[in-house]
Amino acid sequence: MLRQNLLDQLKHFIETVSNGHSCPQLLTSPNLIKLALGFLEELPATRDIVFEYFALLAEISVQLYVSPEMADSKTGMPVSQVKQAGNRQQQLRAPEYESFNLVKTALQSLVWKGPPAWSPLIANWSLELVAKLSDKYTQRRMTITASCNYWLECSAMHGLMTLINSCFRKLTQPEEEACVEIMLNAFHRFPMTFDWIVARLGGCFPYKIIMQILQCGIKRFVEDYRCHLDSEAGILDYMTSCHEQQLRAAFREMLREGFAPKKPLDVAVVPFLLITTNYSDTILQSLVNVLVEIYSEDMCEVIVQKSPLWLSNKMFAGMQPTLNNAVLRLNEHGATLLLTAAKMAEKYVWCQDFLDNSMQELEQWVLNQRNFPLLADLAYEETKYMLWKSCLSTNLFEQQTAVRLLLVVSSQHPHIYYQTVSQLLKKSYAQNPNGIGALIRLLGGQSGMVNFPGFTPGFKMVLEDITLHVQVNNRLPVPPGTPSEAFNTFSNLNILARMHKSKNVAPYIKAQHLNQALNECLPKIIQIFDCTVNKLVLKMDKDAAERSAEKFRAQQSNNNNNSDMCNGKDYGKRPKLEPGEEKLEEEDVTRMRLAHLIVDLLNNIDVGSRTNVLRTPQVLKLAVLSVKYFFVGLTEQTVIRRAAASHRSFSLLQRQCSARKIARTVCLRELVEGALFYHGHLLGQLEEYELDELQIPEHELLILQNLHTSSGANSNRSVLHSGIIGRGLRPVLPTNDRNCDAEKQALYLKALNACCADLEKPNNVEGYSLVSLLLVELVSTDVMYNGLPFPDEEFTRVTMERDMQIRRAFITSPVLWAVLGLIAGHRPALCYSSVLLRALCATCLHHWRGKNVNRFQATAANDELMLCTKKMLQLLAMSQLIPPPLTNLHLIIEHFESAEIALLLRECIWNYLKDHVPSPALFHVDNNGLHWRNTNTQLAKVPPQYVDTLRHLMQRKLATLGPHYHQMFIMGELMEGNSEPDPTARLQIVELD
Amino acid sequence: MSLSVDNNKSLLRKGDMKLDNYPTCAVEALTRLETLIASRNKQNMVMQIISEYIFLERTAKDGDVRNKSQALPISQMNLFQEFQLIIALIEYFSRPGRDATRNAIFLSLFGSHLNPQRSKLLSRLISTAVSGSVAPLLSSAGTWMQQVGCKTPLSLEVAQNIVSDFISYSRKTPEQLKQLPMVGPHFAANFMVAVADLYLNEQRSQSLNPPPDALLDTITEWMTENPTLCQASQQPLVLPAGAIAMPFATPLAGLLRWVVLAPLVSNRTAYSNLHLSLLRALQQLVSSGESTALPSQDLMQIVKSLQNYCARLGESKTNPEADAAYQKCMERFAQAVQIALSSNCISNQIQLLCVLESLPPHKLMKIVISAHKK
Repeated sequence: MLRQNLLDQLKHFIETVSNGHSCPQLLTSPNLIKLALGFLEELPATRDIVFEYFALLAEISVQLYVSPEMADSKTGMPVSQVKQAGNRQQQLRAPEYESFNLVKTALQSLVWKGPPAWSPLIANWSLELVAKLSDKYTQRRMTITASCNYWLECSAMHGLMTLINSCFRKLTQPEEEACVEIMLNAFHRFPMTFDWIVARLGGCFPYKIIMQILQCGIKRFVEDYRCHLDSEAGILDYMTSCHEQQLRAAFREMLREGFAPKKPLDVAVVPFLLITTNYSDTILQSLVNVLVEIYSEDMCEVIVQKSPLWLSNKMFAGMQPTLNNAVLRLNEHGATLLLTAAKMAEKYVWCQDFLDNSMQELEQWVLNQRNFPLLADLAYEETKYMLWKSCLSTNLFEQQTAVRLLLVVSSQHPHIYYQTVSQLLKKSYAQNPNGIGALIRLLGGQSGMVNFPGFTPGFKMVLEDITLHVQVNNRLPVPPGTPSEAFNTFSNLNILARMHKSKNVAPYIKAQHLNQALNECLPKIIQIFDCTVNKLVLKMDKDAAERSAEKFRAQQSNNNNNSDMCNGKDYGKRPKLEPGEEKLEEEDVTRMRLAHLIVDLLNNIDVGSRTNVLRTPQVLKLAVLSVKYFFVGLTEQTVIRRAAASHRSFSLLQRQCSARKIARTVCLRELVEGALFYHGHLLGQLEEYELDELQIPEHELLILQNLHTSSGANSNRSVLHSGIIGRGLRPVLPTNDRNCDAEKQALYLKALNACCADLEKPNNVEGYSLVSLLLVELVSTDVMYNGLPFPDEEFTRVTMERDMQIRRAFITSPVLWAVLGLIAGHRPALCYSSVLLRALCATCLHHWRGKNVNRFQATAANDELMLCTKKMLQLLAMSQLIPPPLTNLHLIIEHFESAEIALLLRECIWNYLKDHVPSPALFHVDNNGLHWRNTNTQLAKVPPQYVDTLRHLMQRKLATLGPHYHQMFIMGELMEGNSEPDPTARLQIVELD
Repeated sequence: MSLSVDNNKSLLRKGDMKLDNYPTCAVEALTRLETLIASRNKQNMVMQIISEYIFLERTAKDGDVRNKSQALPISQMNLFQEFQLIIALIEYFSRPGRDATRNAIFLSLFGSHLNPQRSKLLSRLISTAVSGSVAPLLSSAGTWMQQVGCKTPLSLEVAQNIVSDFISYSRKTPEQLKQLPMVGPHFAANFMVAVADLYLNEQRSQSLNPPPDALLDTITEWMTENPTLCQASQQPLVLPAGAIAMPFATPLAGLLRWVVLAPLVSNRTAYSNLHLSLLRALQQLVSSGESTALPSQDLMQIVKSLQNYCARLGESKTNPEADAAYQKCMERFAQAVQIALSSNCISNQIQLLCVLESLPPHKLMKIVISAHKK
């Protein structure tokens, strides 16, 4: 009968189990297990004993797991997969080891599918069992993670944990409470061996467990402040990995109580939490996260107010040294914490202590090349930005802390260093000079660090950035008046360079490094400079073109009417600006300032000097740019600014030119070309009206014309023509009102001088000769008859057209006179410009003669022809190309008639020069290295045929020219007479008398 | 002193009983008890043998200092020994023998005051007996229950244990429980009394706890299939000479409370079925002419719960006449009262009618009251 059978089975079961303690094989037979499982349904009264039996099975399994015979002989670790590996005995015992699995599966299905009453029962049973087994079979103390790994390898333990987990999911609220209670009770009973279970299972109701553990801990802590909290901390630490949110919530809750203590226990909250953090980094991290989250000024007040309460705890009173290391253990928010402390440091001394100690420790660790979590925090992007911000703070503590932190992190992450340098350079320190301090401190690097990154890449980075900004016009709208990043950067670099120059100001930065770095970055700087200056030049040229176009339009409306439309008022006054233009204007002003700064910087770091070697393309580029900058500088609005800009460029030019010959060549060529062609308008050049050249219909282009006929005298380009048939007269150039601006011209000459002057050999005229040759090249269009000698006067007919053109060049570019003047002062450089002098002389001669032919015209004082003649004579005299009596000719020439002038020019000047070819050979070098033509020697003594004409003419006008005559002839002869009296001369003196 | 003398005597008499070979000694003790129990003056020795050889209990005098404060002795048995004893007891009770002796031994083994181990063992024993359908043992258990009192904590514990074993921890109601009225009608009836007291009882808990569905279904089935089950407890007890039979209790009053109060917490149709079978059972009582089937204090309890409910309704400003649940309660109550009155099984009729009148009015109830008040 079934019923009887059931009781028999029960009897059998009881007998087997109660006798089977010594014989695991019997106990673990699958039949018995099945029987037991059947009882759960058929014979519910046996539930307890069946579970007792299951506990036995689990214990057998655990016993096997920990027993040496089941251990892997090689590794010593327990063999978990016995079926696959292991020796024979292990394989024999495998069924016993795995026997609990059957139970686990059955119970799990009960939990999942059975009535809900099973869950709490199985959960409690499993918990108790796990606690018991873990306590019984743990041989040595292990960390929680190790325990978890160790025990979860055991199939029975794993099964039990799985069961508990599945049960927990089925529990109702009150049942859950009960389970937590059971768990914590077990934890109290076996604190050493149960902690891993709490940690593992805590995940099922993390907040509750965490809160309970914390409460347990604090109670123990209050009872005995020296107690060890390893288990509690271990559990929290383990649980943090998955349940940080709950831990934080618990901390938040506890801190809330701790800051507003009501119960006596609350006073211990803060000391307890701080002590707990000593046990684990992750707990510390969580606490800090919470703190950072809830921190506020008010809270700080509360802390200050409440801290005496906490001090009553002895542990807390003595824990400050451990706190200092705390910050180094943070993975996150460490920098925030330090900066917060720094912000408060002014107020509280302990903050300073904390900061000092922490920072010292930190730097020590870095020096020892130790790795620590805070480094990772510092390397975060967000932290980086925060530190940058703090670097600019006006609070010195904060700023210094930030800088030190950046230095620390830089030793490991050079890119952060570079970025920081770059970032700080971009900021403006006009309002807050602290920032530049940060920058200087940062550039100094971390003392004692061996492989600290250099700052050159940082410079390069910022310059690269700026290059982009400058090249691609920054379209981002910026409020007017904000200095651009480029401006800031160069301003900062300038300050640094200047400080560096004055040596003692920035001891942090190693002497050579800054200069070296900046010179390394020179290509970049030059690129930026290039871009800036070229834009300025474009703008300048555009403005000039607009101005002249306007002028010519006005003039054209007065077609062929000689009245001047262009008066002084218009010049320099810009037409009213449109609003869009204003912005452009603003942009140009800032660009100009940038250019000034760059040049300042270049001067400060001695760019182009011999010590800093540059590659040739850079040299050339820099030379060209320097000249461009000079011209741009001339457009500055006020005299002072113009002078300042020019002085900058002078020193720039001078340094380059004296260092590199090639630089000089380029500079000079650029200067002269600029003055004559590109930027002549700055120096009073008369604009060529476009009408003249550009309105030629295409089919009339010279090159086409030349295909049909030889151009000859009919060429419409001929300067001799006063117009083109069909178009009327060409407009007359407005000569009178446009005088060359003396100030600018002076600056220009100084620039030339700066290029030519050789600091080492002051008498070297090489540069001036170069200018002279350049002038010939640029002014004279013809390569024919460009030599030094003067031909017969008749021969000038052949070269007349070219001569006229040269003359015209002098008219349109008055600055040429000044340049020639400069050259004339440095003998024998002017000789090379012989062709220009010849052209001037020939045209003047021709014109004077022409005047003579027509009819008498009174020569106005400022007549172009007269001025030209005078200037030419002056030049000849200055350069010692004509001998003494003639040297004064320019003073008196205006007193002669045009015919007389023609005669004088022909007889005295032309013929003399024809016979004494103006060449360097005329001069000799004296002891000082000066080129000199000794007029005292017989060689320089003027043969009478060149002087007599003048003498006669002067004698005719002795009334007016008396004093001159005396000076020119008598004085000279008197002096000569001392050595060798000349009868003719005496005769003349008599005549004169 | 006398106890120790007795102890020595028993040891002398039963020299072959050794505690080492449990459960043999327990079986041996049981057979010896049979003879001892007959003589009424050896009660002490009986109790001592039971304690020592059957339950392996040791009193504090035996040297266990910790237990000195406790009046009841502590058992040294482990779970396996308990089950060995259970098997031994079942086997003993299954053997042919006199009912009176068996009942006497059962009552000696499990008196009205038990220590936790023994009560636990009793619960397990009865549960096992139910599982194994051990009729003689169940019969003895039924007698024990009646003698101890169906609503005493001990009985309730046993009942509760059976409910949890066969209902809470069971996926489906086992056949053994369903057939319990056939196997042990006396026990089943007493079990129902106890179980009825456990649920929907405001005296036990603050709120009305409905019985588990499976339990309700089982009891409904019992009542439907065995209309006379309620009268099973009225059978005369087989007791040893000189023993006084305790008064019986029927589950009718408790179950009536279930069905009347059920609409307040549940709307399962099983209650309607149960109600129907209850009414039938009441009707059948007419023939027997017993008047104590429905003790009036049990009915008062129902009235009390209804009054409480009406008070709660009043707090939420609801008219009881508009409350469907209350109306249903009253309807069932009125039907039951009517039949009970007509079959004359209510003890204190007038008092009941007065109390019923004080309840918020109900049509059917009014009719019933007016019909019987004359």
